[in-house]
Amino acid sequence: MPLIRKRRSQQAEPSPSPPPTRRRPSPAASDASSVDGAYDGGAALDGETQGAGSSHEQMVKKLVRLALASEYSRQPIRRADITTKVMAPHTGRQFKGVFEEANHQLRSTFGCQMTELPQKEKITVSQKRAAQRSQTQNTLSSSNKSYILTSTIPPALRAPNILPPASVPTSASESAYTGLYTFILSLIYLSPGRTIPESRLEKHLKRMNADNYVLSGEKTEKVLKRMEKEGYIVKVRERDGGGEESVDYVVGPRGKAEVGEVGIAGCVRKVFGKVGMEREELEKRLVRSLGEGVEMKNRPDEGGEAEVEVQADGAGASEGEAEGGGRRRRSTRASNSTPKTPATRKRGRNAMVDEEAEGDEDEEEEEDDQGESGDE
Amino acid sequence: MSGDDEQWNDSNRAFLQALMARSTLTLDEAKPLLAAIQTTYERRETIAEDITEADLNAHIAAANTRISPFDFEIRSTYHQTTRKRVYALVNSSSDPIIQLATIHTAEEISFLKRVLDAMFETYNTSRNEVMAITSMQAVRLHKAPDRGRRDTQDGAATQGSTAQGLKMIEAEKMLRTLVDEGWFETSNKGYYTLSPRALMELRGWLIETYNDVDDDDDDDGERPPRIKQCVACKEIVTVGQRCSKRSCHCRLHDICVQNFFRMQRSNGCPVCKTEWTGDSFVGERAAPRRSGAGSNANTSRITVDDPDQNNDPDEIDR
Ligand SMILES: [Zn+2]
Ligand SMILES: [Zn+2]
Repeated sequence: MPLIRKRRSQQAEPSPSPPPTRRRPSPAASDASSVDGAYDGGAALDGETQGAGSSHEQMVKKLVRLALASEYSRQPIRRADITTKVMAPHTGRQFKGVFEEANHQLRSTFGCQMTELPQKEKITVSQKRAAQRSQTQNTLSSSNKSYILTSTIPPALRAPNILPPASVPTSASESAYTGLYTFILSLIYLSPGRTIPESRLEKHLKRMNADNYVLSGEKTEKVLKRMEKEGYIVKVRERDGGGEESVDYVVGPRGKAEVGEVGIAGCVRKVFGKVGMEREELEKRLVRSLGEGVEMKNRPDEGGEAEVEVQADGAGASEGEAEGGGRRRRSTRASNSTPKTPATRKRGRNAMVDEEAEGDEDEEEEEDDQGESGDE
Repeated sequence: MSGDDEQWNDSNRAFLQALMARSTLTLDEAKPLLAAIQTTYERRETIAEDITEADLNAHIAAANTRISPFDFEIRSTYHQTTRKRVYALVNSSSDPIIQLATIHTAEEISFLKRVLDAMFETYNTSRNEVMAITSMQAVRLHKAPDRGRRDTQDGAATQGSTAQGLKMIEAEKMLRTLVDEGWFETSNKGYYTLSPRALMELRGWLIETYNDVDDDDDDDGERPPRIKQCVACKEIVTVGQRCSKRSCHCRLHDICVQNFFRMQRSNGCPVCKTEWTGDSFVGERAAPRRSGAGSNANTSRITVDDPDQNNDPDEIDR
């Protein structure tokens, strides 16, 4: 603790280092321009002024920070972003070196690494079939590439009592979300041809009472859209010869990279939790459906494959159990803090109709007007 | 320099990932966490009760050594009301607002800045040092201020740089997100305040931003800084007590008061010697009460105050 103490008292000095954006203390000055400018430029991730900014080391550091920040918001790390936010001008050829060194630092310090996301396949009848057979990605220009962070520490050290589901960006509903996409991915992975017709998915959701609303109170439809947007699943519409339209779901690029066969196998093991003979039978069937990569003994402790146990346990969470310590606290806090949510939502919707609506009368006993004189 | 060494192995990495996945960690939360990590990593059953504060600090010290080259740091502070010690991984160098911009849109960041301005300027007057904001007050800031904008409201043909603000519903959502992300906390009375984590991460920025007094300001200098630190622990006070003499800058956390006066052996303000009465507050307790308003009596009569009046900067200095 002495270490922290000391650092803190140093911090107590009013200005450890001048922040890049200074603003006049007038409310009107709080426009977005300063943020905008910095955000678009490479300065976004580096508070210091240039100088060593273009050195190899600085670029590695920026990339590490970009990768961690992106993962925090569950956004892929785009190659294009790396180019604009990390690489100094005219250093394009150093990309590979910077990338590899950043990944090395991520692994050795943070226990994770950037893993390339499979490109979203263009899906037509035939391509879909082909895609199911081979895991190969279509070659696309490198500027379209994107990455996510996957953990490189042993799965056992990522059990839910150690690593709770990401608490950002959506907090309490996050573990429910993780559970639901893992569940849906399992359905897809274990369906013939790794495709599930929409109607069948709906039936499954109905069975777990999630056909209209999921646990967090969001509309199922909206949640599925989010999964699509984030690349967990892909919705495929096609017309057969007779003009009949069919809608199917297949596994999306993020679903593959973040969950994948191994994650699904872990989920299924958790859910069925068989022992002895049954366990063997289960394992056989898992290998049959998901390939040899998921066999317990074939699992290396480390490696590129992403989330296993964590995701699997998210599935449990979707059935209503909260996760371990910190998680639970946060969930409670979130629900405590939003008892008004339904009302607020309604108000918000009205507000859409009449933006300036002074519909605040129904805002019970707001103590207000602090800015006004308020005699004591 | 790859691979494990004595000081940094997968158990440390697991701890670091666990910390990054939460916005804050307390000792109570760290105990079962470190026990689980040790049980798994050393294949030796460890129970939460075996973990001491020293174990936690050893983990944190090791982590700080490894992460400081990337401008991250694990800091700790005491929660201003619960007195719990809170640890969080924060960005140690760059502007935290710019950091937030990697996750949020420019419009959302502008809204956040308006909310912070309201907390630390509009609702932080020498009379009422509230430093907190109700959701209604915050949502009202959803639109970008009109000043300096031409009438671009209607018609989509606005310049890209023109700030449009957020819809009310978006502002509400952003507030919830900020709570979820661990930047804001909500009180029982519905006030948003900065969380301990936000205070750790934003402290330099807050001081820099709000205590930056213009040299040739019209009023005769001597304006008290808007952000004040506790005379006992030196941390920022957004909830606590103030000297009963209004012009005195002395502030103390509720949790620091008792110890401080015991050590000082007198209950006079350490700055101006006025008796410390303990009934002048910083935080939501400093919010003006509506004269004669029974809690439920006349809710229907509550009027919407004019935000422009509230924003009047002159108001800040009595
Ligand atoms: Zn204090
Ligand atoms: Zn005093």
